[in-house]
Amino acid sequence: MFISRFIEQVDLWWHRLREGVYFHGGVHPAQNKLISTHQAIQKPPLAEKLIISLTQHIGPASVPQVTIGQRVLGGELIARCAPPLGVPIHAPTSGTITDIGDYVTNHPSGIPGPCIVLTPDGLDEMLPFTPKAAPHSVQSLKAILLHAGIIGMGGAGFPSFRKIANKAGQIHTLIVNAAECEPFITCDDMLMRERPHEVIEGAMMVATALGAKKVIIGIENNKPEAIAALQTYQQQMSVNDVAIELLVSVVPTIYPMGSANQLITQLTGIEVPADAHSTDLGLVMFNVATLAAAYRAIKIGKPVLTRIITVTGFAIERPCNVEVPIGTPYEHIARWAGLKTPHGTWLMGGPMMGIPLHSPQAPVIKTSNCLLINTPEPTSETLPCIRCGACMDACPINLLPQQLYWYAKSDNVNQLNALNLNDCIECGCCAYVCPSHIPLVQYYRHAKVAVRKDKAEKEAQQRAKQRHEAQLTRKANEEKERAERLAAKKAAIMAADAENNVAPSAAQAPKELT
Amino acid sequence: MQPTLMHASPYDWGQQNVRKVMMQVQMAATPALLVHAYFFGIGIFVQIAIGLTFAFLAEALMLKLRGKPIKPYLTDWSVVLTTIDIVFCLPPTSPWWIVALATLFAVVIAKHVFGGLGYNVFNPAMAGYAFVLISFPAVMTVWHLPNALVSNPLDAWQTISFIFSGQLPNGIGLDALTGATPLEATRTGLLNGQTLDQIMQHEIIFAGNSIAPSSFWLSMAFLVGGIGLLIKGIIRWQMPVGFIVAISLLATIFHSYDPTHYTNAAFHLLSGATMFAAFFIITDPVTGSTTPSGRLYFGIGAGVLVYVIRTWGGYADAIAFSVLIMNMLVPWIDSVTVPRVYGHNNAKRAHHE
Repeated sequence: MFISRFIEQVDLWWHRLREGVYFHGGVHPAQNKLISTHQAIQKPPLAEKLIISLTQHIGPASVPQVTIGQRVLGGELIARCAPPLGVPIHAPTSGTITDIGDYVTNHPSGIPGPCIVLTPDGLDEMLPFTPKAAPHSVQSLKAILLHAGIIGMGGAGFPSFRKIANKAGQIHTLIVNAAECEPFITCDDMLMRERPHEVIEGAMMVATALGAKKVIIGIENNKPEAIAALQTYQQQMSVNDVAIELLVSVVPTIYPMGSANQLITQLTGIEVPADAHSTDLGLVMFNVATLAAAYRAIKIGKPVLTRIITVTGFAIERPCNVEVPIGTPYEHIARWAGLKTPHGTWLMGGPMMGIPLHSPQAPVIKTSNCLLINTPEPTSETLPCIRCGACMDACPINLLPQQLYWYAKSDNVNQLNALNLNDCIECGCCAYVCPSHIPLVQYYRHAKVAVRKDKAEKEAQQRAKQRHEAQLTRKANEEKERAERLAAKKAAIMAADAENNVAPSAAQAPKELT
Repeated sequence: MQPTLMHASPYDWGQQNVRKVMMQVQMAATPALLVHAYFFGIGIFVQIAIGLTFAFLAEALMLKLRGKPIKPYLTDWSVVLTTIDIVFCLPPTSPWWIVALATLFAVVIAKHVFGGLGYNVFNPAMAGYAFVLISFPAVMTVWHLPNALVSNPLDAWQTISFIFSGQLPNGIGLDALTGATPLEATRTGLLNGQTLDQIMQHEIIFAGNSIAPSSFWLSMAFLVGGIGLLIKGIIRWQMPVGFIVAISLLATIFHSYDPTHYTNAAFHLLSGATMFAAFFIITDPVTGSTTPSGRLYFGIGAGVLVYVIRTWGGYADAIAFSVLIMNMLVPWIDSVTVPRVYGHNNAKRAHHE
C-alpha cells in the first residue's frame, strides 16, 4: 500500500516536472488545429430545411408545441421541456414547420430520433427579445438558463440549470472550461478570440448569481490569441468589477485536459472523489460556449438558436468555423466549406472521442462542436496485447486498461467492477498509445453494457428474492395468525364449554347449597 | 454521398507499434553485441544466424499449425528478440544444436504452446536457456575466454567450423580456449575454501582486476542500451531499479558481514548477466508484472532470487531461474497491486474468485 502510493506520487511528480500536468497520464495527439483558424467565424447561407432534434440534451425528449404547417418566428418556443431534465427548444429562424417525425441525428448507433423539421422562409424574422436583468439569485439564474434552453455545450448536453446548486454561496469557484483539448476543434478558441466579452461577462454574471468568489478560466497554452483576447478584456473590465476574482489560468496542452475532473485537478489540485460531484466541493464548471449562451440569454434575452461549429479535416477545402442555426444538416456545412472527396470519413467531434456520422443529413445540435471529415486511411491490423502497460501510463483515471481489456473480453463482471470500469471516461488515450492498435475503448463500451445489464439483473433478482421472502413471511404470518385464531377460537369454545359445563354445576351449586 | 463509417473512437493512433518496440529493443542491444564480439569474437553473430533460422522456421510452422496469419505475426519481430536474448546467455562457441534446441524450445514450447505472442506465461528466452542449461550442463559451462586472454584465439572461419562440427584446429586445445566465468570462478573458488582475494588474483578471467574486464564492459554496454530504452519509454524504471537495488542491498549487507566470502555489490552488478537481465530480460512486458508497484516488486523479487541462487544455490548465475519463478508469481502480484483509481481513496484488490 505504501509502496503503491509512493510510486503513484513519484509518477505524478515526474509528470508535473516534465510537463506541468497535475494528473496522471494523458497523450499528445497531432493537434491539426491551425488549419481551421485562418478565417473568422463564418455565416453560411441558411439550409433549405432545419432538422431540429428533440433529444439534444441528456434527459427525456422535449415535447413539440407546434403543428405541421404552422408558421413560426425565430426564437419562438417549438418544444417545451419534459421535466425533470429537459430544456425547451426554440425555432432558430422564421419559417414553416413541415414535419414532426423521426430522423437520424446524433445518436452513435444511427437510430432515428424525434425531430421537428422547419423550412426557413429566408426572412429570418425574430421574436422581439427583451434583455433580462442580471440575475442575483440562484433561482433567477436557473430560470433564465432553463428558458433559454441552455445545455452543456462542450459536448455533455447536461441541462445547465440542473448543474448548479440550489443555495447561493454553495459554489465558491466557477471554472470555465476553455481547454478544448481535442485535436482539430477550434470553435471555443475562435469564440474566445472574437467574443471574449461574451465568455467573461457570461462567467461573471453566472458567478454573481451563484455567489461565487472566484472565476478560473482554464485554457490550454496552444491558444495564444484567445489567451491574449481574454486578458485584454479582463484588463478593461477589472476596474468596475472587483467583487469576484477572475483568473485566466494557462494550462499545458495535453489530451484530455478538457475532461472536467482532470481540469479541476489541474487548476485547483483537488481530486474529485468518485462518489461526489464537483458541486459538492463548491466547484462548478461550464464550457465557454455555454457561458456565451448564458450571456446572450441575459443581455439580449435570446435563447440558444445557433452554435459555432468547426468544419475541418483533410478532406475539407476551406476548413473554418461557422455559426449555423441549430438543425442545419451537416452536409449543408460540408458542401459550403467544400468537399475534396466523396469518400471522406465523417465524424461529429474530434478524432479522439468523435461519433461517426450515420447520415450526412444528420443535423447540428446544441452540443455539436465539430464536423471532421478526413480522407480514409488504411487501418493498421490489430496484434495481440503484449502487456506493455503503455495504456496504463496514458490513462488519466489511473485505471488498468490492459487488465480491463482481458476481463472485458471474457465478460468478467466482478473483475470489471473491482477494477472500476465505470470510472472510465472513454477518452481514448489507452487505444491511442496501444502499440498493438487494439480498439480498447470499444471493448470498454461493450463491457459497460454488460456491467449495467448484470447490475440490472442482480437488482431484479434481489427484488424477486425480496418479494419471494416477503411472500413467505406473509404466508407464514397468515398461517401463524390462523393457527392463533384457531387456537383462540378453540380455547374460547373450550372455555365456553367449560363454562357451560361449570355454569350449570355452578348454577346448581347454590341449589345444592340451598 | 454516403460517409464512410469507421469502427469507433479514437480514430487517431500514436506512432508506436509492436514492430517498432521490438526494433528499438534490438537497437538498444547493439552496443552490447559489439562489445561481446570484441571480447569473444564473431561467435555470437554465427549463433544469431543459427538461432534466427530455427526461430523463424519454428514460428512459421507453429503459426501455420495454429491457423494464424503468418506474415503479420512473423514480422512482429518478437522472435528476433527472443533469439538475441538466448544467444547472449549461451557460451559464445557453444555447438549449433544447443542454439537450435534453445530457440526451438523457446518458440515452440514457451511461446506457442501457451498461445503465442502476448499469451506466454514464461519468458521464452529464459525458458529456452534454462532448458539447455539443465539438459546439457557440461556444454553450458564451457565458456570461451575473452580473445585477449588467449594466446592463440580462433579466427572467424575456425569459430564457425567449431560451432558446427565441434572440431578445433590442430594444435589448439579446448582447455586453452575456455575458462570459468567470473561468477563460476568465484563460486568454485569459494567452495574450494579460497578467499575472494585469492580467487581474483589467480583466476585468469579477472586479469588482475576485481571485476573481469569483459564483464565490466559488457555490463556497461547493456547499461547504455537500457538507459536508452528508459528514455524512449520502452521500459519503465521500476523493474531495473527494484532489481539492482535488491541485489546491491543484499550484496552490501553480506559483504560487510564477511568481506572475504561474500562479493561486494559492484561485483554482483557488473558480473554475469545482471545488467543484461535488469534492462533486457526482466523488462519483458508479456511475462512481467503490469502494475506500477507490481513492476517494482517483480524487480525486487527477481533480484533477491538472483542473489540467493548465486550465493547459496547450485548455479553460478541465476537470471533464468529467478525470472521464471517470478513469471509464475505475476498473476498474483498484479492482483494485489492494483493502483488507486482517480477519485478513490484506496486501491481495491482485484476480485478473487
